[in-house]
Amino acid sequence: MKFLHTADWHVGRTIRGRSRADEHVAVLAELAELAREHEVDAVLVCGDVFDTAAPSPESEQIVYRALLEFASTGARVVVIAGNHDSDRRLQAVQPLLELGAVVTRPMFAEPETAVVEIPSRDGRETMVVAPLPFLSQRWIVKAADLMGGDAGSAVQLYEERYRKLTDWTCSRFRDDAVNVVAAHAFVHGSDASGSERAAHLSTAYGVPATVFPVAAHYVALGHLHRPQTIPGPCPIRYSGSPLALDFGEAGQQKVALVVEASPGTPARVTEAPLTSGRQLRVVKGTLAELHALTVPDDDYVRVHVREKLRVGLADEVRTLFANVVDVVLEAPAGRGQGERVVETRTERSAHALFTSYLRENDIDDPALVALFDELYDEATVPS
Amino acid sequence: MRPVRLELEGFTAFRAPTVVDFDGVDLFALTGATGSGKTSVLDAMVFALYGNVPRLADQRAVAPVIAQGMAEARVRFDFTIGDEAYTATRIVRRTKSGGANTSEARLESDGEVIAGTADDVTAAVSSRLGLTYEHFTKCVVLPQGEFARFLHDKPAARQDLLVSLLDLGVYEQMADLAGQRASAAKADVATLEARQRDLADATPEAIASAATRSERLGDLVVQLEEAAPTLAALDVEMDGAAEQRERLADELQVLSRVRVPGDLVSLHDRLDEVAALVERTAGELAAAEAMVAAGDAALAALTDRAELVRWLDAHERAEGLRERRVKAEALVAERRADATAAHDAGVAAESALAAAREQVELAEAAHRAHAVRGDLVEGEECPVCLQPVTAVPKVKAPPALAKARTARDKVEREARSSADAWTAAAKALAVAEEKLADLTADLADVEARVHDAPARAEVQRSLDEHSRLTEELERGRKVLATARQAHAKAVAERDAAADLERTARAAYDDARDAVAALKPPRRSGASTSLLDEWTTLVDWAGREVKQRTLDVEAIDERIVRLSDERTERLTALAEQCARVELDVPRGTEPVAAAREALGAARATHDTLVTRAADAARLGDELAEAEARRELSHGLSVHLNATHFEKWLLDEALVALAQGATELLMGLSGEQYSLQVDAKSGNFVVVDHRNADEVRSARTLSGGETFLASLALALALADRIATLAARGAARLESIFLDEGFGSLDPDTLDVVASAIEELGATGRVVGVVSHVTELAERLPVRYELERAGNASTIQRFDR
Repeated sequence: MKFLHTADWHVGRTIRGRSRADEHVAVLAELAELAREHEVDAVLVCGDVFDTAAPSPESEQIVYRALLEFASTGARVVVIAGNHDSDRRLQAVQPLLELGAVVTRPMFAEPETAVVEIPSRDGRETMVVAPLPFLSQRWIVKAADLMGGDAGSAVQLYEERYRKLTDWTCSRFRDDAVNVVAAHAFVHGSDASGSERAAHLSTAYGVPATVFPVAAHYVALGHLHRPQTIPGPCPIRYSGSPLALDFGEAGQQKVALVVEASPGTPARVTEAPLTSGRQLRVVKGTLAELHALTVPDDDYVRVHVREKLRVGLADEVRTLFANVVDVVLEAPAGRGQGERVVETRTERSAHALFTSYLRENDIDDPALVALFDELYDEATVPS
Repeated sequence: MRPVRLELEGFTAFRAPTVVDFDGVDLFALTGATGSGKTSVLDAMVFALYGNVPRLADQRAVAPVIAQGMAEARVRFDFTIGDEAYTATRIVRRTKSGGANTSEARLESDGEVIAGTADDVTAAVSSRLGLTYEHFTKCVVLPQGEFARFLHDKPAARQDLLVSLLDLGVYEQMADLAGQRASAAKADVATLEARQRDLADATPEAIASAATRSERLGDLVVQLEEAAPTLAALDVEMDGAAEQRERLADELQVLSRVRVPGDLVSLHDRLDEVAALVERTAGELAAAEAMVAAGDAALAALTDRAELVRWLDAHERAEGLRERRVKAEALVAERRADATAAHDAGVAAESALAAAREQVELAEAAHRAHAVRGDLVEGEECPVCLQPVTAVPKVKAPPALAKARTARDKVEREARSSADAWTAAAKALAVAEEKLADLTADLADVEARVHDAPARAEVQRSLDEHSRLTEELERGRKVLATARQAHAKAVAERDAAADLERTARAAYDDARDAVAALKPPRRSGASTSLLDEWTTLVDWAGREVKQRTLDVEAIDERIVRLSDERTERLTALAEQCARVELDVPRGTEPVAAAREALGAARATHDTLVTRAADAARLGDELAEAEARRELSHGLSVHLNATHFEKWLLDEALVALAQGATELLMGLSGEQYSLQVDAKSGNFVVVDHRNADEVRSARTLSGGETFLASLALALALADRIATLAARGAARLESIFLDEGFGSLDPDTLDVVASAIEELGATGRVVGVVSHVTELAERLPVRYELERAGNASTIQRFDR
C-alpha cells in the first residue's frame, strides 16, 4: 500500500490581509501531481483543510476541486475535520464528495461506519484507516468533570477518554491489513510553529504518543505546521502544512509524506518537498544593514529593525522590500514592555498604597499615615 | 456563576414557556435574526439575579420586561456558584395603573429559601457573587454597545467608572471624614481661643493686688473685733436706760388716767329724788283700789240686771198681745158677714140655672120632631111610630134653640162665679178665726209669766239704779289704772339710779386696780362715800405723776450721752473701713461686712490663680487642636480627587493596561499591547508587527477593536473580581453581547479564535451574534426564531 499524507492546508488563510489563494491553488496542484506520480492508493488529508469554519466560496472551490483532482488520480481520498474546519459544513457535502470517491469524516462515529477500508490498486492489499477528527477537550471533558477535580485529573481524564475513543475506533484494525490512524490532535513531544491556534495547543490537553495502538502501521497526524516525527510504538508523523503560514515557520522546508507499507512490514516514509508556496523570511539589522540586503520579491518578509523608535520608521522599512509583512522593533529601549514595572497597586492594602503615595511625593509624616489608617477603619467598618 | 437552566414565560419576546438548557455548556452562541430575542436571554439571566435589565432606561421599572399583551413575566434561573446550586425566580405582574411590580422573588438553594423579596434576592445574589449589579454588568455580562466603551471612553468618564468599580469611594468618604475632623478641630481652636480670651484677666498683677487686699481686710477684721466688746457694753447700757424710760412712761400713762368721773355728784341727788316719788305713787294707788272695791259691793247688792230686763220685756209683750186680740176679734166679725152674703147669692144663681135648663130642653124636643117630619114621605112607614104616614103635616119651624142655649150658658157662668165667691169668703173667715185663737193662747202664756214679777214701774226703777252704779264703778277703775302706771314708772327710775351707782363703784375699783402695783392709799371702809374714795385716790395719783416726770427727764439725759459716745466710736470704725475701701451698707455690722469682704477677696484671689493655671493649660490644648486641624486638612487635601485618588487611578489604569496587554498579546499572537498615553490619558495600542507603532484605540480595525476591548474588559473584570468588597468575586462566566456585525473573514477568525481562547480558560463563555459562521464554530449554539410576536429557542450541540 502506498499513500500520501498531508494536512493543515488552511485554505482561505491570509497573511496580514494578503490573499494566499494563488499559492494554495499551486501547492494543491503540486500535491495532486505527487499522487499521480507515485500512483498512491490513498490520500490522507488530516484536518484543517479550511482556515475558518465559514470559508469563502473561493476557498471552497479551491478545496473541493483539489480533492476531486486527487480522486481523479485513482486514489481514494480520506479527509478528516480539524479544529479550523466546520464539521457540519463538511458533513453537508459528504454525500457529494463520496460520489467523487472522496471520503470525509467530519465527526466521531461508531467504528463500523467511521473506519474506511481501502483496497490497493492491485486489490491484493487492504488499508484500514481509523479516522480521529479533531476532538475538542471541551467536548470530551465536560464542565461537570472540570468542577469536580483539579486541573491534573482533568488532563488525565481527557487523556483517558481520548485513549478509549482511539481504542474503540482502532478495534477494526486487522492483522492482514495495513492499519493507519488519521488524526488531528496535539501529541506531546511535538513542536508548534506559532501559527496554530493557541487555544488548541494547550499542553494540558495534549495526548501522549502512547494512546496510539501498537497494531498501527502508521499514524498520520495533522494540527502542527512543522513536519515532524513523534517517538512512539509505531511511526507517528506530522506532515506539516504545505504552505508556510506564518513567520514561525520561516525557513522550514514544506513537505508531503509518501508512505509505503504492507501488513507484514513497517511503514517507510519519504518526504516529498513542496515548493509552490512563497517563502516567509525574517531579516534583521539596522536600516543601513537592511539596505544592503536583497530579498526575492516573492518572499513575505518580517523585518526586525534595530533602530530607535520614531514615527514613520515602519513605512520606511516597508519600502525596502516588495512584501514586508511585519516590522518588529528590536531596540530594547523602545516603548514596549519593561518600560517600568508597575506593581499591581490596587491589590495592595490601602495603608501600603498611601505610604507609597507619600513616599513618591517625598512626604514623611507618620501622623498623616496614622490619621489615614484611623479614617480608613472608620470608613470601612460597617455601621 | 455558571448558568444551568433558564426558564422564561411572558418575558419580552418569549411569550410561551421557554426553556434554555445550559447543562454541560461552557462555550455557546446565541444566534438568530435581529429582534429574535438573543439579548433577551442574557437580560433574563441578569433580571433573575438582580431584578434589573441593562437596556432599560429606568432601572427600577420592571414593566417593560413583560411581553406585549401578557399579564405577567416569569423567570426562573438555575445556576451554580462554585459547588453550590441556586435557583433565582422572579415574577413580574402588571398593575392596574399600567405599571408593574415584582409580585414574587425567591432565591433558593438546596431546597431552602434564602431570600424572599425582590430586594433581598438582589442583595443575596450580590453578596454570594461578590458582585453588585453594576459590577456584574461590567464583568460578566458585557451589554451591547458597552463592550468597547471603556476602551474609547473619555478619560474623565473612565475615571468615574473606575472610582465606582474599584471602590475608591471609600477615599472620598475618608476625605469627607478628614474634612469633618478639620472643621471640628477648627471649631475647637475657635472655642479654645475664645476661652483663652475669657481668661485674659488672670494676670500676675491682678493676683498680687488681690493678695494685698486680702491682707488689709484681714487687719481690719482684727481691729473691728477688738472694738466690739466696748461697743457691746455701750449697747447694753443704752438698752437698759431705754427699757427703764419705757417703764416710767407706761406708769405715767396709767397714773394720768386716774380721774373722778364727772356725773358722780348728780347721781347722789337723783337717788334721793326717785325714793320720794316711789312713796307718793304708792299712796295714790291704795286710795284708788279702795274706791273700786266699794263700787263693786254696791252693784252686787242689786237684783240681777238680766232678770230685770226679762221682766220688763214680758210686761211690754203682754200689752202688745192684748191690743192685737181686739183687732182680730173685729176682723172675724167682718168675715162672718161676708160669708153669709155670698151664701145667699149662690142659692139664687142655682135656681136661675135650673129655669134656663128647662127652656133649653123644651126647645130641643121641638126641634127633634121637626127634624123627623122633614124625612116623612106619604105612604111610607113613620120611623117613630112605624105606621104608614098618611099625610105629612105642615108645621112651622119651632122657636130658636140657640137663643135658649146662650141664655142657659150665661146663667151657668153666673152660678159658678157665685159658688166661687162663697167658697173664698168661707176660707177667709176660717183664717181670721185661727189667728184670733193663736193670739189668745200667746196672751195667756205671757200673762202667766208676769204674774209673779213686780210691777212694770218697779222694774223700770231698779234698772235705772243699776245703770247709775255701773257708771260710777267705771270711773273708779280708770283712776286706779293711772295710779298703777305712775307707781311702776317711779320704781323703774329708782332701779336705774341704783344701777348707775353700782357702775360708778365698779369704775372706781377698776381705777384702783389699774394702779394697784404702784401701791395706792388704802380703802377707807364701807362708810366712806364713793366720791370721797375717789378724791383720795386722785390726789395720790397726782403726786406720783409729778415724781415720775422728773425721773424720765433724768433718763433721757443719760440716753443722749450714751448715744453720742456710740456714734463717736462707730465713726472711728467707719473711717478704718473707708481706709481699705470697704463699703459698709446701712444696717450692716462693719465686722460682718469686713469678714464677708475678706472671704470674697480670698475667693477672688483663688479664682484668679485657678484661671491663670487654666489659661496655661488652654495654650497647650490650642496648640494641639491647631496641629490636629492642620493634619486633618492636609489629609483631606491629599485624599481629594486630584491627589491620592488620581494617583491611584493612574496606577490602576497602568495596571489595567498591563493586565490587558498580557491578554491581548495572547489573543493577537503577540502583535498588540495596550498602554495608557501619559499625555491624554487615553488608551493606545502598540503594534509590535509595525515597528511598535503607537495607534490610538480609535483607529483600530473592527477585529483589533474587539481584541483590545475584550482584553481590557477581561482585565477589568479580573481586577474587580480581586477587589470585590465581599471576598473574591466569582467570575465563572462571561457573556458578550456584541453582535459582531459585519466581520470580514480575517476579523471573524481573530474574534472566533479569541472566543475559543477565552473558552479554554475554564469559564462559561456566551456570545450573542447573528453571524452564523461565528456561532457555528462554537460547540453549542442556541438558535432563536421569531414567529409572529413570539420567539422560540432551540439548542444545537456540535
